[in-house]
Amino acid sequence: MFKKNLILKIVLSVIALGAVVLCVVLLHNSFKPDYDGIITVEVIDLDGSVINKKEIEFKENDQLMNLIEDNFNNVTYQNGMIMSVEDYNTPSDWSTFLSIYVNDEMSPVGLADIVFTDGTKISLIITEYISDWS
Amino acid sequence: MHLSIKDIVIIAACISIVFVQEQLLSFLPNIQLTILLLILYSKKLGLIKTIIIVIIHSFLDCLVTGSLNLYYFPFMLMGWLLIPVIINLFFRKTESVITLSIMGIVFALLYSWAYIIPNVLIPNESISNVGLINYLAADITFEIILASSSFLSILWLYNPCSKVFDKILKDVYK
Repeated sequence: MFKKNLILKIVLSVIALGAVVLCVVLLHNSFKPDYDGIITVEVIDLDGSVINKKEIEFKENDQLMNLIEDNFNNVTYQNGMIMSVEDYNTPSDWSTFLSIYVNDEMSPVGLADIVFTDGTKISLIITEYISDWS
Repeated sequence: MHLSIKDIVIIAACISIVFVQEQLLSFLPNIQLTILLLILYSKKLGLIKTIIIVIIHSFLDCLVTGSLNLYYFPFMLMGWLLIPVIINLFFRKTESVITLSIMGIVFALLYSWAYIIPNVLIPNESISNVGLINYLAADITFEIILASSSFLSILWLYNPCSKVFDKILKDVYK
């Protein structure tokens, strides 16, 4: 009788323990964010004022160009270059253009090639074209 | 009802044990020994003393967790008070640990469902339109954890705790 009771207790315990472990794992997974990181993308006007600034969640294989396109208005690209965003359109004479900064440093590569991680800040700064560099 | 100094000391010690174990286990979601202890107290100390323990414990718990308001406190109290009331009404003479463990599951569910009243049935601006089905769906994992952990703790710890408690009571009231 004692042995039978012990076996019953062990079986019931295994079932209950399994339920606890399963639920704890489910809870743990449900509190995980469904993104891998957050980047900040801002559009800066000629006078330095912020036109728009957004914190954008991304997953591992997301492309920066798509993230910007999905989160800002009026985004167009031409040969990999960003030509317009929000109310700004690059004029045909290129007197102003959008320069790209990553973490406050001018990016040596285009948007498609920028490697970004959680916390990266991308600035799209409307910049005046200076023809006379002297 | 008259309470002796010994009764008050026992009640205070029991409240401390329930409160401290709950705080110590608070990092684990809904895993606690509260139902085991309240069943034990109900059977060993009787209805009135356990009700006093439950009222003071619920008050302290709500005070610490910041939910000491008319929205949650009465329902928490109601959820826990069901244990001494049901045990003393129907299971006073039950010594089968498996029956008590199954009652642990029932108490865990009743306690969890007591919160349906403030969260779903009473209009609340901060958590409006939750809906009964959505609430139950969100709460079911917590309910299963509380029920399973209560079942396990009663199954394995009720008898040893009962023996220790009997010895303590015998020493105190000799």
